[in-house]
Amino acid sequence: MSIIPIRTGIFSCLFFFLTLVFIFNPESARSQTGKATVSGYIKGAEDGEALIGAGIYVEELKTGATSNVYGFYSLTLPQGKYTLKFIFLGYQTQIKTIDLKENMVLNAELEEEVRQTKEVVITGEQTEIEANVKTTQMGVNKLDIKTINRIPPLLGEVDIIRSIQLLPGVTTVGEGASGFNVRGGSIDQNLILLDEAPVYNSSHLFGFFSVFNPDAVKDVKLVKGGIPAQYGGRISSLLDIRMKEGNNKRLELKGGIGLLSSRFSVEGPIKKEKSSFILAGRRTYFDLAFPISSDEQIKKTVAYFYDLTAKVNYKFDEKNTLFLSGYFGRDKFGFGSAFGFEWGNATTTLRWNHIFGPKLFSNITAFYSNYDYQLNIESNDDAFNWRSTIENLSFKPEFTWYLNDKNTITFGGQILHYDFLPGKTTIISDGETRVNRLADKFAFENSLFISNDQQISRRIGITYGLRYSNFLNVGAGTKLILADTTPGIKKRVIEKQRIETNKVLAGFNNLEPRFSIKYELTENTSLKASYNRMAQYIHLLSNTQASVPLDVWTPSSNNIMPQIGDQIALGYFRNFSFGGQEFEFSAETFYKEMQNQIDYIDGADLLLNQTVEAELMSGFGRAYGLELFLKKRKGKFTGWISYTLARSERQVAGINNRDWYPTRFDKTHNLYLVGNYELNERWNFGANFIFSSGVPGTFPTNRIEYQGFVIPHNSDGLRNNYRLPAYHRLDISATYEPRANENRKWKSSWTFGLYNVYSRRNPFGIYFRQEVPKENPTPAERVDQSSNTEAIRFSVLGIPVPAVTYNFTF
Amino acid sequence: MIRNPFLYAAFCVFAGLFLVSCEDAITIDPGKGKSELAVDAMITVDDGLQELRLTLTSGYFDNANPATAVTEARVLLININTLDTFQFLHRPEKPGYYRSSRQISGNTGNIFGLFVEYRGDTLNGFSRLSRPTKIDSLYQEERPAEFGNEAGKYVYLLARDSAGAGDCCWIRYTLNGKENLQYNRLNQSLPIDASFNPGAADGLEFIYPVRNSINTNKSYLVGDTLGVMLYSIDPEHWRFLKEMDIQLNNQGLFANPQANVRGNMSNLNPAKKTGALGCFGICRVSKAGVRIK
Repeated sequence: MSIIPIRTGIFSCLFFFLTLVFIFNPESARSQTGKATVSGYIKGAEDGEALIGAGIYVEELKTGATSNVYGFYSLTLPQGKYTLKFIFLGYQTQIKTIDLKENMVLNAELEEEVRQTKEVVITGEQTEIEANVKTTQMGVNKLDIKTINRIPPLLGEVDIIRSIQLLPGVTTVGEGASGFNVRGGSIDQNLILLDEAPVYNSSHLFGFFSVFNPDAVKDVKLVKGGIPAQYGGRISSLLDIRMKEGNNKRLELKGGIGLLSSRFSVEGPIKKEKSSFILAGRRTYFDLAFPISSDEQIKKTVAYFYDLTAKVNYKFDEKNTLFLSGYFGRDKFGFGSAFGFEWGNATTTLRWNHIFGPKLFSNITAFYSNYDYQLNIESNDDAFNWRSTIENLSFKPEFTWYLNDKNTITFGGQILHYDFLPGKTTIISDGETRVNRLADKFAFENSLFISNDQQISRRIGITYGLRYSNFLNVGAGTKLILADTTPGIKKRVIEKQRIETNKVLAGFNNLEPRFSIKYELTENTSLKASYNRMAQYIHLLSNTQASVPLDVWTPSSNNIMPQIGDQIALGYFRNFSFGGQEFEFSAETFYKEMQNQIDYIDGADLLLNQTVEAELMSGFGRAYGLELFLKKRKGKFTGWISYTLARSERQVAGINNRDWYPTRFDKTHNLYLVGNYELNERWNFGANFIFSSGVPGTFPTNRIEYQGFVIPHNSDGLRNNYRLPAYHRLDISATYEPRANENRKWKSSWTFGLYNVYSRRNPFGIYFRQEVPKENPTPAERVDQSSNTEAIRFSVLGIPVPAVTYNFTF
Repeated sequence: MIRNPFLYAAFCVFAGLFLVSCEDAITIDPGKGKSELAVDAMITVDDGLQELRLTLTSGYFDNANPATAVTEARVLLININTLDTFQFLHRPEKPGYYRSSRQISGNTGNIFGLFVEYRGDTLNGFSRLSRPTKIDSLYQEERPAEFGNEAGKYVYLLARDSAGAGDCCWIRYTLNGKENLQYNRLNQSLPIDASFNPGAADGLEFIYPVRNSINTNKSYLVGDTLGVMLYSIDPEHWRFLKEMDIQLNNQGLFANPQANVRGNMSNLNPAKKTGALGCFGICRVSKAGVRIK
């Protein structure tokens, strides 16, 4: 696509956008005399943490607003006297009366509810303000850290990604698989942001645990559809994780000692009310026992992971706040000096919140993100070393303009620089060395976005936005020109063109419209619809059931087109009371089309391959489904039921005779039950149950005998033609909080958990092989020669896994 | 599955340490698909009379009735460069096996064509004779117990790769006269350019995991005899074997999608869809033997 039509496109879209703003807002064109703006921050009273998505409700006008991710809000109202209610779930509602004559700043600090068990009186306003019905956003699930903490953990590790997998529309290929799949998308289609910086591998221990330390996390939001224009770069979802700022009222220490790991965090004010910090760390420690083992092999074993999260903020004045946050996590495995394998993410984010005026809020972010892995093998005269990295530097200014009480405009842009090192190997064989470095790949991903959140009438709200994204794969590098060939076999390299530094190897432009609309049927029921187009320019090359830490990210090029995702969704949202209890219900359907989905020729070699692009294929993807969600948020018993009926398919020339086939993460039925019961002040019980259809697999019909080996063969050339048995699992947990000494700050609790209670052997996969030799063979059986075949069911966790954790704060 | 043997080792360590995973043999019945001709032809030059095997595929789990022998085919091997023709005749005493009437000969770079006439179709495949990689020596070593191997006697294969990328090999061996197929170590016995990635260790001594590919995790016993064959094979044949390796060892958390292994036999008449499975490869061999002391 040439740059000129794109530019014309952008201007015509902008024009259209501004026309919309003014058509629906005749008053915005006029001067806003007689109006004034009240703005400020909403924070927690105990720790000074900004409250994300807190509601501000104007009683007299029956209207309201919500705070942004920094806790800032702005409301423009006709001059007059008002009663404002500040509302946030789990906090006591605060009522303030104001006489609004001119622009004013009004900050609020909300007190936490003393105890969840004390039933909260459900007020009209509380329901009134609730986002699920009132905002145009759909396909959004928020999990607060308290909820996450109460989900029965595996081996005592409270886990954000594992919790996400209990939400509608979210699945995983199986236990221990890293990442998660959203609405039929692959794991690389999720944009995971930790304080705005992307995280490329969200897993510790190959996929069993996620890299986020729950003690440092404040808010987790998953957006599956209707993704706002300020986010882009992945086509399936956005997982927005916000770190705590750190208690700015008092020093607080927290920790937990579990079977697998221990964690410790410290937070507190540096300068009271001005500046605070948080430092949180976590490390597994079963390896600390290795050196005292009598077994020589165990003695040499290295196996641990750790992560460190740190953040400081400084409030210069009411208008300027600076945040600096960092994350550093690493997994290490090995045997003495003979063998080592490690990987990890590191991110640093610097953000500056500046308030230009009561109506214009800005945040400027600069971040650095890095993911790398290394593999080392060493013996006397032989060694193997392998390294790969992906590095990002980015600058992202973003503005929110609270134009009037009907329009909130968000606009900004981003420059993102990538440096991929696909692989560097050093091989030493018998004292001689060979170094191979696959050339670095460089790219820029630039974007501009604008979006308006508009209240058209009391019942109708719309959000419409546009994102323009531009991707430049630049030199120095090599451009591969490939010959067309029969789909499914490796393409021939015709030419290798040298591209000089900063010259464009391949460039792409995309306009990504985003639109969503809400129609309120009643005060607590609404219908919503949304459409969004997303473009994705970087791709994770992974051809295994579960993604491996060694999988390599690669940029779009002349041979790899950007992935484009279009999604439409319709939803029904309702909040209601039943038997004095408050419920939230939603039903959403979606249909998603995905272009340029990467697949691989059979036997593709994705690692350390100079011409990996010749082994890729491209196809279409589609996914559709229905998601039902019923949640009880308050009271002694809380929890949710989520049911998803869905399909995820691909069509690729060269696979499955070019017919549609289910993806490896396609699961038809997904039922998740999550419950928590607070018996009394000391005991709390949690349980969750999961039932989902088995993932598909390819089963062989015939055998080819070759040189004594028996090769499985499907005579119809089908892909994913069978289903594995269904997956189901029950986990339970109990938390005991001893009575706290009123005079002491020390509080503690014990969590006991049992994962996979009834010992279900859920199949991760079914594999086919020739019979393996016997453990204690007779002399005749010392060689593998059997041509007998067998099917093997592989289960990752076939037993109940108990856990106990001791948590404390003071 | 992890294709790189280094990583394979890494994941085994991990699996042993952390996972309480379990494997059960189960019975499934995916049904039997259509029976097709399969060509099992690995022909070595300058190595006596050669044999190949033709079968019809049977059901994957049909252990009681392995492949049906094809006895009525006509088989011809032609050195396209020299137009030297080698006939293969069926051996009634060994159904499905065809033996050459004389030793196969050819030079590096010669292209060989295999022609199989069966039920009105002529199927053909081509393979190029690679330059030789030779075994320098085999050496024995006493090794302590480590990384899952028992303490005892082990044998290593020394060979040096020729400079220049694309040298593919397959290391096979016999223990006391019987070939040990070692399904799960195939990845180590299929080196390219002395290691596992094209060009990565070009011109070097075979790297350690390749040298070690003629061992299991059990010690050899005094008196055992080992016969090692280092085949220099066509890159296309190597690709076939690598795909076979993936499918034979496709298990665990990081399994690849199960897929058919692509062969190199096709119908001489492109209009006809009937092909053949399996692969034809022309190769050379370098041999060495050792008796465990």
